[in-house]
Amino acid sequence: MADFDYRTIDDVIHSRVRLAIMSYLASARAAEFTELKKVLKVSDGNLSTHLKKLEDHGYVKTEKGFVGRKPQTMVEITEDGSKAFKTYVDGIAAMLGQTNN
Amino acid sequence: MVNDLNDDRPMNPADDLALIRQMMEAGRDRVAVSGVHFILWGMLLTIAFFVQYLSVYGYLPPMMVEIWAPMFAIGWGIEFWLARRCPPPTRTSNLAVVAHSSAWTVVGLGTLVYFAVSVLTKTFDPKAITLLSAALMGGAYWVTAVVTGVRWLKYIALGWWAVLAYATSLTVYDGEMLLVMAAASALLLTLPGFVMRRLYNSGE
Repeated sequence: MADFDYRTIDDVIHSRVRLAIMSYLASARAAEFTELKKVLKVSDGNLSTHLKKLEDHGYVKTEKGFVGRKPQTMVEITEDGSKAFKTYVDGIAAMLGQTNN
Repeated sequence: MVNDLNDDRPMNPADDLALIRQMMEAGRDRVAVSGVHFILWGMLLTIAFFVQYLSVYGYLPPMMVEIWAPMFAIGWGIEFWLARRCPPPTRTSNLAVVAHSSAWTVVGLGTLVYFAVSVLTKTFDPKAITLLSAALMGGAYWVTAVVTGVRWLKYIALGWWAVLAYATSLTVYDGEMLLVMAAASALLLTLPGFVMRRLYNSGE
């Protein structure tokens, strides 16, 4: 059984929406804002709020640009974000191990 | 795809892991669904094969390099333009993107290199390039199907390998095969491209 202190769980990631965003970006690496909105089925405002929190902590970075004449916001997971996500997943797995035991 | 994300109550660890798994799978599957490259090359190849057929049967002047060199140039030119048009983050690669793009780069470069070398050395064999391209395209579709989890693409791979088997079985390789390849390019490249484009736009 792995020892795990639940107080070390990263609050920035520990929310359904932010965890979903981080999980998606952990494998996709980058995604468009509209793509994230479709996949997560959340509103523009809700997604923006959660992305801002992740961006403020340096877990993701956003880049606004244009494809043709269409504005596009790309969201990309950062190195710090990848590390934090891995730590979070390890923590949850350890916690689950404790629960099962 | 994901339900109740607007309900932001804390989850238990098992729910957390289930959500992580589901979203990571979704992130992995996002590659290859845009379909733009399939549409581009499918249309170019369909036109090129049909023009070659018309040339072989005397409806147009005899030509080969005059058809295929511009076709490759246009295709790679548009690919270059598409790559530059995308903002840098879209070019970030996960493992699936690398596998998918590598498989299709092998198709493009393999066919192009065979064509260029065989034309320059005057050893060009239409049956050989048909077998090579059908085998490589089947393989590339299979790789894409595996890494993205889009299972129906395996049937497209089988379609290309059926073309490969048919071409291999021909004792006389005549100009009619150009029509078969034009049809194969339309049905097994352009059409799947439009389907993928539609799925991509609908967020599936």
